[in-house]
Amino acid sequence: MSPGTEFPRNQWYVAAYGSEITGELLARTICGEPLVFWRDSSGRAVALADRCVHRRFPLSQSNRVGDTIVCGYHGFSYDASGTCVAVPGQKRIPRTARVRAYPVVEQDSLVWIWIGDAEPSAAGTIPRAPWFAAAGWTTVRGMEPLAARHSLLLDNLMDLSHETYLHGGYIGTPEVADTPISTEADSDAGIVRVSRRMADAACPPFYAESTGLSGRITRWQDIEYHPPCLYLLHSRIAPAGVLPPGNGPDNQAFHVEVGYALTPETAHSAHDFWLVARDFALEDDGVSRFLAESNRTVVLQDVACLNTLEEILQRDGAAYQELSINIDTGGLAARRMIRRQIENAPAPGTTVPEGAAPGREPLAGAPVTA
Amino acid sequence: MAGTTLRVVWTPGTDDLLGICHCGAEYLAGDPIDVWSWLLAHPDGHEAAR
Repeated sequence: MSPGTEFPRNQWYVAAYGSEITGELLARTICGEPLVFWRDSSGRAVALADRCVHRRFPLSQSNRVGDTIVCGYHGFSYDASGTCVAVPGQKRIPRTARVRAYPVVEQDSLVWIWIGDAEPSAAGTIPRAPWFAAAGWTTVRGMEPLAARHSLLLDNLMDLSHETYLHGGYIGTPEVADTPISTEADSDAGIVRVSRRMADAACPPFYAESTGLSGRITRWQDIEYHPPCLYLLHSRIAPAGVLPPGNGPDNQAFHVEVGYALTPETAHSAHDFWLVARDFALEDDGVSRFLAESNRTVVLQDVACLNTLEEILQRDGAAYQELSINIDTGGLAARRMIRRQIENAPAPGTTVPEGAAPGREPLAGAPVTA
Repeated sequence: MAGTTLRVVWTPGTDDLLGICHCGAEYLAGDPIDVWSWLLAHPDGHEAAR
């Protein structure tokens, strides 16, 4: 079986960085739904369906007047709730004249949107990544459009052994592919964890240049994936043999928090949001520029690879038996959680159980397929 | 270990994957499809594998 094109609905997805949402109208398609975003006069991020109810003209190509959008075709006007408040030439506003407004939550510098027909799960179930907005950290970020399905990006990120081959000279060294991993599928929390801890490894340029370390290093890669959207990589870099102390701060190590938000755009494309936060050289703009340029280069290497795979999958069709080996253990667990989210989607209009994590699932389930 | 956490440990120096169920049962497998299938089948097959 090939990586599928389906993605779960009735989930929270990252739609944008908070800094992208301004008074200007922003068009972005999330999970196949064309949306328009803007920030209203109170500072609140707003998301509406990007189609005028009258003749489907994109509201993102229309005009914002105060806290309303006035359609650029015939002047239908919508407030931030999606309610039509004015139509041209008449006083009576049809009762059906409204566009859909989407629940939005802004936290940790990310703008999350609820995609689905069920009532949204509580904002408290959205996974956190506080370092992307917290004091004591400096973050660089970007977003690359991906002409490939969400599941291909997920496969890529859950198995970092590809760093050795695809990202040599940036973040890959031989030890990444050579080091065994341990994997956890935590059904209660809705998290897949993959840990790769290299005791004595070469220091790749990405970390040598940014930290100043020149010798062998102890390198930990601890992945925490919150299906379907948020991927966190807790990276610890220290001189070889330097482990966290039993007590007190781990101040002999460098910590880098890498984040990705994997947001489907359509069945065959995605938004690849990436962030790199560090707890060292906080004011050093040179380090920021280096990490931003290096990580963007790495992401673009992934994008080129995955775009090629998407073309091949579409050209070759489904008649293909995928082969999985040990390095794929985490990716298979992640696929299964996504599959359960698709299968367990609540019916339209129902409410996601209180306290339910987006990835929560019953323990028993169909065997993993590959 | 959390009550519903399933673990797979790739044993260093080998190609073996050790599956550890939330119930404590363990299973040595040669590939990830096999180990996840066993873990997800809980409790089927767990006593024999212990």
